[in-house]
Amino acid sequence: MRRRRHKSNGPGHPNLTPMIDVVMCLIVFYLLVGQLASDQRSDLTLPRSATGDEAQDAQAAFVNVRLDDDRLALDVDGAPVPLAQLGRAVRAAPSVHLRADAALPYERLSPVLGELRRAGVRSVRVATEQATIAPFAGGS
Amino acid sequence: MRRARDPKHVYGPNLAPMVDVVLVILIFFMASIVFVGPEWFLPAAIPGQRTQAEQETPDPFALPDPTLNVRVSLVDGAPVISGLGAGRVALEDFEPHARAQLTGLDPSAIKVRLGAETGVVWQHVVTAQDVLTRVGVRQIALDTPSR
Repeated sequence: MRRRRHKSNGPGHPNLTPMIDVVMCLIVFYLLVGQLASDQRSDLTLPRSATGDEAQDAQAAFVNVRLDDDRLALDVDGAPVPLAQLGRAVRAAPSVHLRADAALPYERLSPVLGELRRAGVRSVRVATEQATIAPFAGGS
Repeated sequence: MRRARDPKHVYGPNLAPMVDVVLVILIFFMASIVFVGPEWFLPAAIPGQRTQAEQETPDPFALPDPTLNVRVSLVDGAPVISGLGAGRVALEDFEPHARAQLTGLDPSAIKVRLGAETGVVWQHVVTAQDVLTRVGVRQIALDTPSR
């Protein structure tokens, strides 16, 4: 009995369609993940640290702090919030994760910490970027 | 007349260039994700301001507050640390200095209140916090302004 020949593009030409499907899926996946990651960080340059842990609280409020034309710009979970309303915005969250720009002067960040403290927040988790070597940013 | 179908002939568009481009795009996205990197988190307390009455100890023989006040400031544009041992030390030399100062002590029992002078950027404060964490200090608080 003669075996039926499997349909292909011919000898030496494997069928590329499944590979293209998989590769396209991977591209869409990385595109979405990259977009989500950049959205979460809100174009912040996080400070680098050699210690820390990756554990995140899914219920935590993420407070992003940066300077926008020398004006303090705050957002909580992506929504812009004025400094005076910060306490109200994070009050329901069980914990606060603080993402501040690495180049932000501490005297500009300090009022944000004060406002969090007045809202009853006793501790924050400072977001950093993983550094493989001990970070030292000389100057600024 | 119907043409005979050649089994060795490849019908349809040539997909090889598209596969090349798609793989390059895939590698680009994979690399960009790696460069974004994971976020790390350092825990820090936000202490309340001590009242004037708390700061003035009526008992002259009372032990001082065990909390160390470590401050980051700028000298000639370079970040320096004060408050842990005598004098100031450059931020880049802070880790060996801190290890030497805490020799023989239990760093996990030490409380540090970390603050910064005007002009010090957040990266420098985080670096100081990172160094303190590496030498074993677990109770670190970020200084907040008085009302």
